[in-house]
Order: sequence, then structure tokens, then C-alpha cells
Amino acid sequence: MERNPIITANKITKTFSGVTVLKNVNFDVYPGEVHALIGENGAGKSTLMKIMSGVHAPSDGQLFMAGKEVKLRNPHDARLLGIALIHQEPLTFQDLNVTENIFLGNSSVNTKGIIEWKDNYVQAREILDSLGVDLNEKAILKGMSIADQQMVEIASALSQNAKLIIMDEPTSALSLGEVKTLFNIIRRLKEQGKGIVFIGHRLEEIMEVADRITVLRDGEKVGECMAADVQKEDLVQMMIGRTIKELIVKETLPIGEELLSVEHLTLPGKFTDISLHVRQGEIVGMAGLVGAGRSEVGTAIFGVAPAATGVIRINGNKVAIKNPQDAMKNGIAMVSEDRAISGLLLPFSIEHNITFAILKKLAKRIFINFKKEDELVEDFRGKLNIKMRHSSQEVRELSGGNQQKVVLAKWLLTEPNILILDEPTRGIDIGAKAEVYKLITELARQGKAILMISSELPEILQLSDRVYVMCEGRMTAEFSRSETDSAKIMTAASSFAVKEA
Amino acid sequence: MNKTPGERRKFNLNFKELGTIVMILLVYLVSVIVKPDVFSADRLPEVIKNVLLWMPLIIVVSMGMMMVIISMNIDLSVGSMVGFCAMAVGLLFRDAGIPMWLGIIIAVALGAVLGAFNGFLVSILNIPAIIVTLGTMNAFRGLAFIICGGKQIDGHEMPLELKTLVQNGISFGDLTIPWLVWIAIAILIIFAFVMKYTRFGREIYAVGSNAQAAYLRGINVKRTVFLVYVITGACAGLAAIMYACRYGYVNPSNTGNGFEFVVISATIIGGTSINGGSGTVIGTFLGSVLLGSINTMLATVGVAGTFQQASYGFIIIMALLIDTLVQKGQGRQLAGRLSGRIRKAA
Repeated sequence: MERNPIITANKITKTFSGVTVLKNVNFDVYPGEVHALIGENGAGKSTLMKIMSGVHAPSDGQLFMAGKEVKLRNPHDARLLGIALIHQEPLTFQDLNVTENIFLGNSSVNTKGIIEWKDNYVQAREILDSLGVDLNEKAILKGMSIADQQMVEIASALSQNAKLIIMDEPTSALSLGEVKTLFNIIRRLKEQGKGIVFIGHRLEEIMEVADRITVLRDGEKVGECMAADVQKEDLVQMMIGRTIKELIVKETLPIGEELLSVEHLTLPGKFTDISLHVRQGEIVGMAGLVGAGRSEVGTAIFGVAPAATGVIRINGNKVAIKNPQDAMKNGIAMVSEDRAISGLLLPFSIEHNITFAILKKLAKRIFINFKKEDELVEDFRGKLNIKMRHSSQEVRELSGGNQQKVVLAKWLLTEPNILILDEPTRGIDIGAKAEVYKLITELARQGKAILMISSELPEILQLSDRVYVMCEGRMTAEFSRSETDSAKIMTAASSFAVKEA
Repeated sequence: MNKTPGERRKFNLNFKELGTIVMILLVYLVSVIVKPDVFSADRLPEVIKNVLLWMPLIIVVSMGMMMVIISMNIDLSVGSMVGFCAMAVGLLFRDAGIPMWLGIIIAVALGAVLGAFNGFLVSILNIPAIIVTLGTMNAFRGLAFIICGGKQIDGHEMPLELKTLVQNGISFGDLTIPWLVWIAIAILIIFAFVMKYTRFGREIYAVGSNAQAAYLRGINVKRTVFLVYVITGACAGLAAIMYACRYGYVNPSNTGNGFEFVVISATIIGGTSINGGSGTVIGTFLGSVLLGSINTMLATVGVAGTFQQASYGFIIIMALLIDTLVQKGQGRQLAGRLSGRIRKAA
């Protein structure tokens, strides 16, 4: 069947203050099609998406809709033409209800400026029903899950007769069940003849939902293929220009004395009778399903929510850790799942974030030795491959992967001998993951003891010297590197047999 | 009282608004205990009149302030706008002899112009609202002194009809509700309608709730914020005329002095979130009534003039404190039981 694309981007080029972030990219979407856009962070996905939704204007190239060239001056122009952008973090109005969120800014209803509440409620209900969404149209958004808020955003797009719906990493904050619901809705949208641009990281999901896949790397289109005729490995190779095996390189490092040992730690309702130890230069993985109590063990050791009973020993000496300050005095540091609260000072520059923890070393009495600081940061910049314009750039402008690198870089410089990492690669792309793995290895080489909590089996399997598995608040297994495999871990993660002492 | 989601802007009282009513009753209860003869037959009409005539000023300006705070901004210059408009129109009354109706129009228009100046700096030039209005608070007050040469304009220099707005009204038996009060009621109804039933009203909530999202939805955020300041200025202009009616004089240092504190407090106590995005007309109305009552009753029970300002400030802070405690849920149980009893008794 001959059909015309809803939108065609022709040879789009975009430069920001001299830096080219998109080069001659062609992209189009047909009605009833899901076209996935993948690539590492910084590959240009978001820039392309922002050009198609009117946030940025292209430096060169054209956008065509229904055969005619269109110029989008702002997001509102795009919306009027039927292009809707669904943001990663839903851009909704927390204080308003579902119906208001759907129709806000929609000039086709309430033309006289007077709101017909009854009509609006009825129309909202119709749209929600057409999506198969079971949400109360009168409910206030505050407190709703991200998934529900996303549905509201999608409903809002439909209320304006959107033809093209661009979804920016819509699954990154969703649970497994919610992803399924979202995919059902995407299928319905396809049936209604909408075109969908799906931007994402998780390749399994992309393979499931997409009809066509375009891969960007360093601002250029490196491939376009039908989802049905491509393998995941091929996509990874296209994205990073390397194969996945090369990503995680395990080095055998000398393992030293026991640094941290924990005996019979219990926090009622969270975890029971947890004993573990980590040695110098050792990377110990903590596997298990989400909610198994792994993070709680981590925060208990770090003193955020201390255990009720049990003993923590550092270098063989019993210590009392009642709060994070105690933990840090004893040389323990933790990188939590949420980078924003794990010691990154978002409005600070990269260099200040890296050197913040060692100001005392850099400063002679009260004055900071700027030259020394510069040298240090320059050294790190090379080592970490942090993609930044300059080292005085604010950390909050960096992508998640680059932020995580800055967090880890900080610990390379500082005292903690024991590092607890909670989901160190969550939400960051494959290329950045590889660099995070390198950093973790580097930290181990320095002789730090590392306890790595992770839900990603490949990283547990590749990186750990030893693996603990937890299930429902109990330790269910311990494997050495040689005896572990994914089947064993999965069995232990879903079994309730307590590990034999 | 169970509040179902989405029923927020319906005309039913939520827990917080009930708390404000309790505080209002408390003010009068304390007044009676301190000075039992306040409500005696011969003083009562005067007390009622004082309360009724002071309230409208607060209500009118609070409505504008509510809009500003919902849009996640602030306007500290309202008191000075009242002062400037009052002096400017007072001069026109005295020197040009304009009639009252023209004075009202000019006062409102002048207020709108001052508000537009605030709005221009805040929304178009993107200067933080607190700095802009802190500046204009001083600037407008200064201008008020300059134009009148620092001299008060007395009642006999202004149209006599101004008094009719205070003295006449609609009578219910012995009780006359002055026109001033009806003006405030009209303003209340208009604002209630605008906030709930117009696109503009809804866009104010949207802008305060999430400005970026509002922009991406095609809402003209700058225009919305600009208009909100213009409306607040117009409200202040109207309040300037009301002040002249109420007191029979306008004075560059007294008129509207400290008004921003009263009005912002009334709005916040009325449940408008300082973080923007939420607030109701009914709540703001109740907040205004509470602060108006405190102010009037302090004078009525005979707190010495020198003590009044300090007491007023502390009592408002106390009210805010009670409010915050209730919000945090610490006083929730107690207040819940109290309101239960009150409803039983009623």
C-alpha cells in the first residue's frame, strides 16, 4: 500500500555554538508505524526529537508534513500541526485534575474562554476509554504514578488530534507491568493510524514494540532497519561501534585482607540475619529481585537506616554505625540509586564536584591551590572520558551516565576504603556503562572493597569476584566467580531456602 | 469530611477552610472574654460597621494576590500601589474637581498601569518577582509622597458622594449593608467565576503548577503572568478608592501601609500554596475575614495604639503557626475532633 509519511526530516543538521550534534540525518514516520530511535547518550536522539517537536530549529535541512515543508517556531506550532511530545518525566500539572491536564492549552475546546466542565469531563472520559485507560477523569494528578501521568499526557496529545506522537524514553521510570500497559496503548494508537517515534535504551523493549529502527551515533545516522530482521547484537554494535563482549573486561586483581564484615544483621520487616564480608580489591555482587532487601542492607551498613541487631566490623574491629557520618568516619561511602542525592552537587561545576571531598588536601590553610585542582581535574577528564564542554560546566547539565562517572571519580580521590554501589548503571546507556565498569575496576585496583548491588545480571556475572543472592530479606546463596551463572542466581533469587552456614 | 479527588474547587469547605472558620470564631470569642461589653446592644452596631468596612479592602486586594501567588509569584508592592492611587486620585478630586465615578475609573486604571510595570519587569524581563516588587514597593510609596508634596488630603477636599458608599447600602431591617461591602461581594463572585470557569483562570493554575509544561502546551506564560499583575494592580486601585470612602482622607504614609503583609498572610492562611498551583477564592475570602477581624477587634477591645501593630504582627504569625501545625497533621486530630463537635452543635 502506498502511503505518505506523516513527517519527513530531510538532511537535518544542527550545530550548537560551533559543535555539530546532528549531521545530515534523514528520518520519517508512516501512519500506524512505531519508528524507534536509538543511540548512546549524546548521539543526537534528543536533539532530533526536539527539532521535530519545535523546541529547536534545525541549522540546515527541512521538515515536511504531508508533502509540504513546515517551519516550527515553537512547541506550540508543532502541537497545532499534530506533533506531540511525551516527555521522559511527564510534564504535567500536579495541582490540576486529569481532565484539566488533558485539555490545557487545547484551543479547540472552550473557544470562548469559558470552561464547560461537564462537556470536558465527558470528552476526557471518551479519550481515556479509547485508550483503554482506567483513570478517574476528576482525580488530581498529585500522587499519581509516572505511568498514569504518562497516560494523561498521551490522552492530552490525542485531544488535539495528534498525528505523530514522540515518546522520549517512556519506559525508563515504569515497572514491568506498566510497560506492558504502555505497549498495549501504543498498539491502540497504531490501530488509530498514529505515527509513533519511540526513543529508548532498553533494546529488548525496542525489539518488541518497534516496526522500524534508526540508529544514531555521534550525530550521524549509522543504520536503519526493520525490527523483524535485526538481532540485538547488531544494534549494539551499530550503536557503539563495538561488540558487547568487549564492554566488560574483568581483570584479575590481587585480593587482600577482609575490610568489611557484617554478622547477623537484622532489621525487622526489611531483612533478617544477613552476614557478608568484602575484602580489599574485591568486587562483591549483590543479586536479587527488586524488593529483596538489598538496598536496605546497603543503607543499613551506611547508617541511613541502621539495623536493629547484628554486628558490623571494619578491619576486624567492631564499630557502631548510627548515621552516615559514622559510616564515613569508618571509611564507608555509598552511591545510592538516586544520583541527585548521593553526593552530587548538581549546581556545582564538574571540577568542584570532583574535588569537593578533598578540599582539605588541595588547600593550604585557607586558600585553595587552583593550579593543583586544574591538573587533577584535567587528569580525570582524560581518564573518565566525561563528555563535557569544559570542566566548569554544571553537573546538572550532564547526562545520567556522565553524572555517574563524576560521582565515582570523586571516590577515586578520597579516603573511603569501602564502597557500596546501588544500581551503579541504572538509566545510563551502554557506552557509558562500559566506562563506569572501568571506573569500578579502577577503584578495586586501588584496593577498595566494593559491594555492588545490581539488578542487571550481565554486570553481576562479568564484574563480581563473588556474588551474594538475596530473596525476601534473606541471604539465599553465595557463589564464587567460577561457580556462578545466571540460572543459579535466578534460582536463588526466587527461592526461600536460607543459605547454609 | 472526605475530599474526593477533583472536587477541589467546588463550593464545599475542606478541612483547612474549616480551621480558618474556627480561628475567626476564636477571635470574637477572645474579644468577648477580654471585653464583654463589646457586644452590648449599644456598641454592637458600631463594631459590626467597623468589621464590615475594613474587610472589603482586604478582600479585594487578596483576590489579586491570590492570583499572583497561584501563578508562583509574589507582589510586595500592593500596599504602595494603594497608597499611590489614593493620593493621585485624591489630588484629582481636590485640584481638578472630577466626579466620583471618574475617580473610581482612574484609580483602577492607574493601579492597572502600576501593575503592568511590575508585570513587565517580572514576566517580560524575567527579574525575580520578589526583587521587582520590593523595589516598586519603595518606588511607588516614594512617588505617592512626591505627587502630593507629603501632604494629606482631607475628606472635605474630596467628593461627598464617597461617603454614600459607606453610609448607604441595602438595608435588612435595622442592619444596613454598605455599598462598599457589595462591591467586595461582586469582586468575589467575579473572581470565583474567572478562576473556575475561564481558560485564563485555569491557565494561572497551570503556570503556577508547572511553568515549563504550560509553555510547551502553548500557554502564553509571559502574558498570563503579566495580566495577573495588571489585575492585582487594578484591585489595589479599587482598594485605594475604598480606603478614601472608609476613612474620609488619604495620606501618603498611612494609606495602604503594611497592606502587603496583611494581604499575603490572608492569602496563605486561606490555603493558597506559596509553591504555586493551588488556592481557592473561598479560602482566600476566609483568610481575609480572619485578618480583617483580628485587625478590627484589636482596636475595638481597646489595645493601645502603640501596641496594636506589634500585637497584629504576632497574632498573624501565631495564626500562620497554628495553620502550619494543622497542615503538618500535628494538630490535625485535635482540630478534627473540634470541628466534629462544632458540626454536631450546629
